[in-house]
Amino acid sequence: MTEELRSLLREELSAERPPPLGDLVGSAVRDGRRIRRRRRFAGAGAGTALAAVVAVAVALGGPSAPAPGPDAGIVAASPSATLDTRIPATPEAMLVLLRALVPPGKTADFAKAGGKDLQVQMSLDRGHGPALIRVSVAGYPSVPGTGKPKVTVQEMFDTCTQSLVVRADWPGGLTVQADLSTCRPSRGGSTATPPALTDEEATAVVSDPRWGAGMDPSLVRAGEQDFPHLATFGQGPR
Amino acid sequence: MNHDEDFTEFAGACAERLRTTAFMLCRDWHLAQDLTQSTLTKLYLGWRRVRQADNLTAYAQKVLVRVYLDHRRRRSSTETVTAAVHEAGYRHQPDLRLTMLDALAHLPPRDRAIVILRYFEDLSVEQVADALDVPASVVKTQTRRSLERLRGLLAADQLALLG
Repeated sequence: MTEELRSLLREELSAERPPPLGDLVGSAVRDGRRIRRRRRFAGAGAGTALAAVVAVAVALGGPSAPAPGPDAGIVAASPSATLDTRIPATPEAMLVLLRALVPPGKTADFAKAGGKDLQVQMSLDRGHGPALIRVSVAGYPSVPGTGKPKVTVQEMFDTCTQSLVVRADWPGGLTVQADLSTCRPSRGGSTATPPALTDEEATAVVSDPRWGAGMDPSLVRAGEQDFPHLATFGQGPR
Repeated sequence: MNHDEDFTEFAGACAERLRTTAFMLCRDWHLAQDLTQSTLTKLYLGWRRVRQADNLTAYAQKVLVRVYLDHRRRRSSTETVTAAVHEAGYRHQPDLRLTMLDALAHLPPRDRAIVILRYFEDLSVEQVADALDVPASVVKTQTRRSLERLRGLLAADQLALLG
């Protein structure tokens, strides 16, 4: 399939008549040099200005320079991130938030994905047996942008572990996705189970603005307390 | 070989390919040219660090995709989606059959980038995940969804190629 898709694309591209490449590389080098010169100039200007401020402060007997706060730069992936107090998210914090966002029921099977992925799973039993929910946070910047996310709900018919995929795409690039299962492993196969959440409930979960690669410190602290030894689930093909 | 010569040699070798990838992403040769130039400028500015990358071409593709997605984000508030209007019509009028590039254009920007990086640039799931800063599981999910969407969009004679 891969080769066929590739050859189809190549065939269509060969029919294209692209404009001449021109001096693309030379233009990039010239732009790069100009930007570099501007940065050097700005850096020299800023240095001179800072020296002037320090000199005035010393002359007046005040503090020599403002010290950055303890949390400065922890979440610096986006301009909006520097305006709040978020710190790097953890899977444990994600589970605290997920548990708080779902309707009442018995929760279990808490786990995180391997590696550095921000993806967690949890089962929720609302009286019809436990059903798995997986939530992942991806993209950049690290926190939701302003505005509302675009939410898509898609049914997947080829895998019962991911029957319903609900995804929130925030302005700015952050994506929060929930995968809802309609089966659970049992001896010799799997047993059908209703999804843990309705479309509307899942939409509310992924649309919560507290998700992100940066999360509120209280959630991170609660995660450390509630899930000190979190299990890891597999990353194989699903 | 000095900094500029080293960069110029690499950029000269990969510019055409980068521009082709950019065109597949945006379907506009002039915009593709701009995106490629922005990408090369970024690579030039960080060349001392960039040249240490294990796979320079893959790294350049990663920068290109991010430049493209940033461009889309800046424009997204002024655009409207018309894809749904055309789908049914194309299916019933063979003369207006969608090409693969047309079909790709119906995918959201990030999903389009995933398909192009996976199937045209032949990057691994992990490399695509790194390029787009998403978990590998998201790349797998979105690849499957995108292929389903492409199957739905393409004409019958092309379906077999994806089956």
